Amino acid sequence: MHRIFQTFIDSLAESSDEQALHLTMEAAASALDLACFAYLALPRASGGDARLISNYPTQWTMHYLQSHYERLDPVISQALSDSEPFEWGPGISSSTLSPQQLELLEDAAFFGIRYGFTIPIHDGRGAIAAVTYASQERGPVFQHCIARNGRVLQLMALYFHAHARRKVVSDRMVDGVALSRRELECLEWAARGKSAWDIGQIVGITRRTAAFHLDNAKAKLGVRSICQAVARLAASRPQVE
Amino acid sequence: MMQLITFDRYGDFLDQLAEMHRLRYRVFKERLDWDVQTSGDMEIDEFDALHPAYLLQPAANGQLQGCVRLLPSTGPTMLRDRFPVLLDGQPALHDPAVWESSRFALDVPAMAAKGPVGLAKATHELFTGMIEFGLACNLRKIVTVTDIRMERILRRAGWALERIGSPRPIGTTQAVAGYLEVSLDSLARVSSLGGLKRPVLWAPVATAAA
Repeated sequence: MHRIFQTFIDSLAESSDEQALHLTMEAAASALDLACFAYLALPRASGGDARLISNYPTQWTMHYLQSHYERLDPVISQALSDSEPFEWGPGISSSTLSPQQLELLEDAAFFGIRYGFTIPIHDGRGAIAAVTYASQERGPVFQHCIARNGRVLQLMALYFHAHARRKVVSDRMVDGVALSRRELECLEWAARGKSAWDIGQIVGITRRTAAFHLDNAKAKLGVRSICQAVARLAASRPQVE
Repeated sequence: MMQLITFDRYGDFLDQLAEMHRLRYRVFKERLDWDVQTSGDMEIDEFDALHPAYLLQPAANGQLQGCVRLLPSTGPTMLRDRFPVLLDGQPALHDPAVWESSRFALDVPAMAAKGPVGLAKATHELFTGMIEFGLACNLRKIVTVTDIRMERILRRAGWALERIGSPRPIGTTQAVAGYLEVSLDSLARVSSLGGLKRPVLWAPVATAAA
């Protein structure tokens, strides 16, 4: 187990893109006798895209996304409400499920996803991601596997999430500097002439917090005024007006 | 004895790492109610993905009571990437002889043994461990983002923070960035003010870190 975790961590360190992250997790899950895994990063802004790094059968994931199963999935709703890791599968979950939810689980089982161990990750505002290890093994075999490996699975899920989040940073580079999601968001609104108060209203934070993000953005870009920061942003993104 | 866990040994210290994330949850989420990422009873953030060195401090009964995370200033740091506003316009140091400490956490019972200046002995031990680590790695300074409450504790313990910029309100605290001196003098001062008589870091590990 120690060797599996070290190999996993070493491999994460070498992973520079999603494909490599995928392979890293697949190797580790397989070493622990778990066939499938899925890392789901929930959309950061409403209307945004979720990120999925998974080796679930593509037919299932496509069907899932097209049917918007994330709105129905009992595993997702439990992960949203509580950050405590949990097992699920026939005979494990105690909550009552609707006929549609039962159908969803049957569909999943058809694709080999019958039992799972989900590790939700929350921040101050709620669920931001979930890692699921899934198997089609019979209940007792799966539960024994989780009981034996639960702690390393939880640590692996957390470190995977931390690495996956860092990889997204490259989308927020401005002028060679990495801005946080909030810093970039506030700066983009400032580029449209919004004041810190306006930005607070739009984004749902206080004026002071918006000003804080703008101050940090300016500091990172090495400029004194919002004007200069917006100019840097425009220079790095020709399509920002 | 404090433990130093470096990236190449994470696998060997799996259980201790899990305990560390649990300790951080208790301190930063439960006690301080910071906006941190959690899962069950553990806390983690993106800087843990940078293969930091961790100093862990077990209590006499073996339970983890303290921890701190250390990252080289030559790479991403919390000061540079999360709180650059605390630099007050100055450039962030990018120096192999400077590391950043973060996620400093202590969870000791109220009745825990106190040192000569009224601070928990565990506090002095953790500070001393950080200086010993710094000396083993030939560091000049440790940079850190902290709050003014911890700044007062550092001063009382004999390890005064050399401020970089003025304190700023961040979240629920007044945060400030500064440097902590790594030297034989600061080691002597902090360990003597703590009533500590011998090194706190497990010697073979400290040498390996150098």
